Amino acid sequence: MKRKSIIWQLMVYVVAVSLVAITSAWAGERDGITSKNVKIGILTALTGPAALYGKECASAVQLYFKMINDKGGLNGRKVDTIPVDGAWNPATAVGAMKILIYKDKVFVANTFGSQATTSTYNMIRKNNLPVQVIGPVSTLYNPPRKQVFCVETSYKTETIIGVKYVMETMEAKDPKFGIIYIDDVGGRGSLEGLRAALNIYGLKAVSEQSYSRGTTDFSSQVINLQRAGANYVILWALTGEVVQILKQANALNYKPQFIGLSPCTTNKLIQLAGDSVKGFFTVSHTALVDEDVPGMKLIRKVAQKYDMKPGVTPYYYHSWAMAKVWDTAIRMAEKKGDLTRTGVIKAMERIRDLDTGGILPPINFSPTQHQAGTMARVTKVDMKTKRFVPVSGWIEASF
Amino acid sequence: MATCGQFKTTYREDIKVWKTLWLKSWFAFLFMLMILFPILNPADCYLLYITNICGIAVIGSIGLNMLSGVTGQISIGHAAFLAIGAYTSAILTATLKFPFPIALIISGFVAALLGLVVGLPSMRIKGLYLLLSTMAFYFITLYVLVHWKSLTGGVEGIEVQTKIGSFELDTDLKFYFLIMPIVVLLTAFARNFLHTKPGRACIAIRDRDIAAETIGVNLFKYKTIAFGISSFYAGIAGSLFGHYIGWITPEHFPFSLSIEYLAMIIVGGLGSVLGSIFGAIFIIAVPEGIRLISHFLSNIYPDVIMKFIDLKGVIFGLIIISFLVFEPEGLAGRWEKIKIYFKNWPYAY
Repeated sequence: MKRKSIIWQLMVYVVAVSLVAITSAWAGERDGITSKNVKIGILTALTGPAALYGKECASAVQLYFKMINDKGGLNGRKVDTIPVDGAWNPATAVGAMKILIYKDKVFVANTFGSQATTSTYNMIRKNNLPVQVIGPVSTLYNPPRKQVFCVETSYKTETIIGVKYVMETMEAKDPKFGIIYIDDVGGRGSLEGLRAALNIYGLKAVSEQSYSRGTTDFSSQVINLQRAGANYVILWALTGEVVQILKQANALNYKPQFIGLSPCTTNKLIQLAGDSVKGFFTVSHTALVDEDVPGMKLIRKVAQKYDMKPGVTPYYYHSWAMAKVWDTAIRMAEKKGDLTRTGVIKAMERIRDLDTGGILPPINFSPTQHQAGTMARVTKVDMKTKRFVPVSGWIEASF
Repeated sequence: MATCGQFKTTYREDIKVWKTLWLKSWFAFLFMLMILFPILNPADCYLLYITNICGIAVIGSIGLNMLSGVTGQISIGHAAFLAIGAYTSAILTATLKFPFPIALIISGFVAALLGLVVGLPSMRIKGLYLLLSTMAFYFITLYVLVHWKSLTGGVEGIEVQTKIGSFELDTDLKFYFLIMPIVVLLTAFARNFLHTKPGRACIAIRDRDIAAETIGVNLFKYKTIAFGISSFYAGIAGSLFGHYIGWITPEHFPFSLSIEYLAMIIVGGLGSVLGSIFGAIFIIAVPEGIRLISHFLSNIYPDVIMKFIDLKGVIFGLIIISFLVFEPEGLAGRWEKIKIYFKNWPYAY
């Protein structure tokens, strides 16, 4: 009996040690580029509250490189796009990035969301992994971090442009600015932009109202703005939230000039908000979904070719532009004979006036500037056609 | 004369941690495995990362189990204590330049101190009302973290580095050898605590507080002790998490994290240290496993990840519901049944 027990225990030992040995065979490393293929990772949110946006980010990059692969690949290399789910959760994002770096050994990667990037930044730095981020948080680019790039215009800059438009183009008389912003990195960026811009004109916001994610009732914020007499109100909010704010303001007969930013520049907003969206305008750094600029036409054409639907959010088009940036940077690095991660980073820093066919303003990076976006446009709701129409060209944030 | 079963003739024998030679040899094997496992892996890899995150979750879930499983005080503010630990440690190391080991210990005590404060109303309020007060504490903590920008960095958070002297902990392997000894130490403490006077008092409070008070248990004292110990564990877990991730923001501590910790102790087994370990590993490893499966499948069928990923939540939910329905005692309960089965095998009893 005792002997049987010892044999049994030994067997368990052997199985357990073998399991450890098998799992350790997972080891491996780096680079992600061969003469035949190049791997591009996409750390995005395929599940969770931001899944709609996250999936579009992955789809756009996949569509772009499908087109490139059909044209013979990136200098003859097939591009493999590898999406992983960060679920809009910092801890999950770290695990996802580990998969991309240590298992799939991607060459470069996109990340979706500033918290996904901050959580994985140590890994990005240590592995010298070039990344492009959807999430224009100033701390990530100011001062510039070697591996981190962003094609977007920050919410801070968009807000500054919004104030500049009101003050200089609309020539507002007795403007009293207010803001409703979500209490996160994006919203706070917008608040900073408002304060900075108003400071230049010697003004101060009459009311600053924040809200938490998941809020559906904005009546207290709207009433506070009304009491403070704000006649220009910046909104850093997503489409559904803007709809609620506009409807609640309308119900209270409060009719200031509301100014949204790029996250709510979707035609869905016009459909949902009804008459309360009348006169609404936004500041956005992305071309409108139904705009006939060459870049948007190309996306529609390629999507149709592969029987896919183009995205409905700005993030889809940002991601397409990001794919174009990788395409350009990798080709530039190869031309310089330095097809390494460092080579790609250097190539990124040499990108000047990259034309995305009007999807974004021309993209410029340099060793001191890793956030390309410095411009945005103003768009206004056209109640006849129920869509946004641009009312300005690209405006610089500088004064 | 050969005997069957274990016979104890003193209380000291009954509360021994290492009861049998068999148990000792298993623990020796476990320690050997814990040392071999990281050495056989590269210094940075996904598997070590998951192991480290499981280790941190084990510390946090043991803490919550001491409060909710052992003492019967339900809390959904655990994420707040994790955040307090993480921020205390980050502020001490990044701003005040404290050495990491000191910051780690202080973060545990700061969380424990606040835990004692949160525990004060537990004398007057119970059940769902206590649950609501811990929830309120979570939201107050989050508000402070977001708005006290000069101290916490606001929504942009704090970037932290982990150094012990000039030695930087910058790989999964180094963190493994930091986290695992702490896991072992805190697990051993929790296991022993249950056999001490305060431990038994906490169990008595959970089983029937009026009866416990009748036999002389000071409810106020032991409930606040439970809150303190639970928060201490959470503070340590939070500190380790913050340093491991390297950058903390309030978004790292969502309300759902508290729910996740509750799920860990329910799935693992309420009131059981082993259950906390099983539960933490289960809640962390199963979603990762599902993600890995979908990832592997995507190599064969490129579009599968986009379709399969939506099922992730459904599969995870089904597994948890199945456990609650078929094994209400949690994974620890199932483990006990398996042990008894093999002990009696080939007999049914």
